Amino acid sequence: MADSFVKIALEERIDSFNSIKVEKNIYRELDGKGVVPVELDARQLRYISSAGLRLLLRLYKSYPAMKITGVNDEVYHILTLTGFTEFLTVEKAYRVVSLENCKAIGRCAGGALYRLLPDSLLRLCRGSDPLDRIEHERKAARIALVLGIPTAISCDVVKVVDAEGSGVGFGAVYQLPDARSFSEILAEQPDQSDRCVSEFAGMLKQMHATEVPPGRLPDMKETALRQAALLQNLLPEEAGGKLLSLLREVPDGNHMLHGDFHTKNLLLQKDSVLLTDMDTLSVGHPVFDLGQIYAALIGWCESDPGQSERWQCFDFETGRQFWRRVLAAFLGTDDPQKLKAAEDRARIIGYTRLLSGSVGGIYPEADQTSLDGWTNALLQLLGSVDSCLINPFPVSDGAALSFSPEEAHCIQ
Amino acid sequence: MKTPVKVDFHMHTTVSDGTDTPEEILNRVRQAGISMFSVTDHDALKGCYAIRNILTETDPAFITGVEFSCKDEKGKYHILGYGYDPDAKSMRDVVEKGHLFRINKVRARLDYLRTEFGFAFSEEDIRKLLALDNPGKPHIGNMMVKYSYAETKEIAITHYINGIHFRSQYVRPEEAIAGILGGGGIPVLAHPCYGSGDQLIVGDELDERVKRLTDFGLKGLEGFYSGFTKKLREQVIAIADRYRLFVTAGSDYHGSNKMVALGDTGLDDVPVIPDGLRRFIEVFAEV
Repeated sequence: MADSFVKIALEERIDSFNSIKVEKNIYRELDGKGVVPVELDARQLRYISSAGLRLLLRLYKSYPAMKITGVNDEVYHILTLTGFTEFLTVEKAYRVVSLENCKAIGRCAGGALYRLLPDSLLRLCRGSDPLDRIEHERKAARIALVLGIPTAISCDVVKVVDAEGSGVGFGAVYQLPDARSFSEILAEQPDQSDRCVSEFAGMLKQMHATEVPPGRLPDMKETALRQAALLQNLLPEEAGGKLLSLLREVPDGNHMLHGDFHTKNLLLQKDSVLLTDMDTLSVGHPVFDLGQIYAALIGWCESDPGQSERWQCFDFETGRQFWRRVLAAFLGTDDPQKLKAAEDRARIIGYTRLLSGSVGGIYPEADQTSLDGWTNALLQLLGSVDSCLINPFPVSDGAALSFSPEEAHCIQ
Repeated sequence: MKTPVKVDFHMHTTVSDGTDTPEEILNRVRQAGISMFSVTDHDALKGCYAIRNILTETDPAFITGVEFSCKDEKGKYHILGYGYDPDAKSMRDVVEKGHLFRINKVRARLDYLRTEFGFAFSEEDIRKLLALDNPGKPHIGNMMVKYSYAETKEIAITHYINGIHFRSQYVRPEEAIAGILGGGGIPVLAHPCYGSGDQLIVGDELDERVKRLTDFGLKGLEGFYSGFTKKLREQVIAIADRYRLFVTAGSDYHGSNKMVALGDTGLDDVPVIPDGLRRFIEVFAEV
């Protein structure tokens, strides 16, 4: 219980000059109270030297139910560097950012993207455990960056409030001067669509050509199978069984997948393309990313084309054209039959994702018309498609994927 | 060698800034069940002489110790010395040099307080101050309170004594290390991550510091320390392993001056004693 903590405020600084006095004052406040939970309120603490760290450790040994709250960035950095955050509950003092001063760029699952200042973007996380999700995303982004994927790493975590000052969640801040999302570019500069297609498909290929050491990232195939399992009550038995069977046949792979690759998560900063929103980073077969891209650009908006404007900032037809051109660039073919076959396979993945997200509460705003449309489309595809495999054709720019022979099933 | 082994190689008596006399600290060591210990007063050997004179055959194993305050262009250090001959000239030279520098600084501070603020003290009080083993700012501050020049020792230091920074004369780390080695002792870097008390030195900076001191003849690192987290301890022990150095364990007990328990070294947290500490204990177990 929060109110059972004995709260003790720490002042400006703790160093060798005042640490003995500070320690004596703390013990005076705790005198006669027994081994109680202790909260050190560090909102006024600007600096802590190693003499202060030793004080904290001694206090922790006497009062193991101890936490330190309102810690500024500098002190938090020191506590992390020295390993205090590994055993002590340390709560940061978060900078507060009001959405009143932000421009909305787009929504995403569990949050939204805002322009915070001219040179910063804010990714808002709503719902449960936003701080855990932000930290997870940071770790995934570091993995991608180390493996050579240009990735924006958040530089700060802030508390986000609405215009009335009520908390709406926490946000990750990205320092990205002059960065614009592909959604913004496609909406405002249609003449840049060729470049967007090329960069979008190129980044997708670069990521899918990146092999991830085992155990570092979750397997997207397992995620897809869990999604399909959620639909077993929604689909006729035969169709549900076929869906599971098609997904099980997708070869395992250690290629990097983004998991939420869409035009809001790809940024152009000057001449560099950067990926953001890495919390769904996974490994597996590229078909899973293609299915998710279809879901974001087309599937989500099929029954209500206006969704595209609200979701992606551009109209539905722009999204449809963009998807087709990206698919062609990614596969290295203009053959309509091959593209149609690849699209159908991606659609199975995409509709599975949309339906399971709705059943599982990730997309609560999906209406019945959308659910019916996705269900019917999925049933039709399961009746006519016998594989979910897509072979990325070699392309001339050297960014072709290196799949094992077992994975290289050509589209007939 | 497995734990539990209770040792404490870092503690202070009234000879420097601790509150227990050598007799009192020996009694506490006995009561704490410590099997091997060392008294490491700042820049002074008197505590070790005193302990040696009152030890009995049934007492825990005692290692002569000292903690030298050192400084060079790269920063400040506390260098521990163990197992030296207290009568060795090289050790006495280091102590006397450090004491002389300290006395010079006290005199300079007293001159500054007199000329800048008109704070005068009796010759008798100045004589007593300079006769202390480790006179410094706190002692001058206490004297100022006695003369009503300041309300508290802290005010005396922050408002007056700290008003000027003297270019300090310090014993250099290589001088301390050479003195300890000359006396047949083992020089060890105290609380390596914390410098001389207020710094935080980790990662490459710590590695570079240890390497430089090892080139001077440093033989060990205080890997187990009451103020170290597991992360810091592991970092120090890893560096000690890399340079094949001894590892020591110390609480830095100061009596009631600091809330550190005698014998609190972090050694209880590990199932097996690291090789560097085992080798260190064996050096003195054989004596």
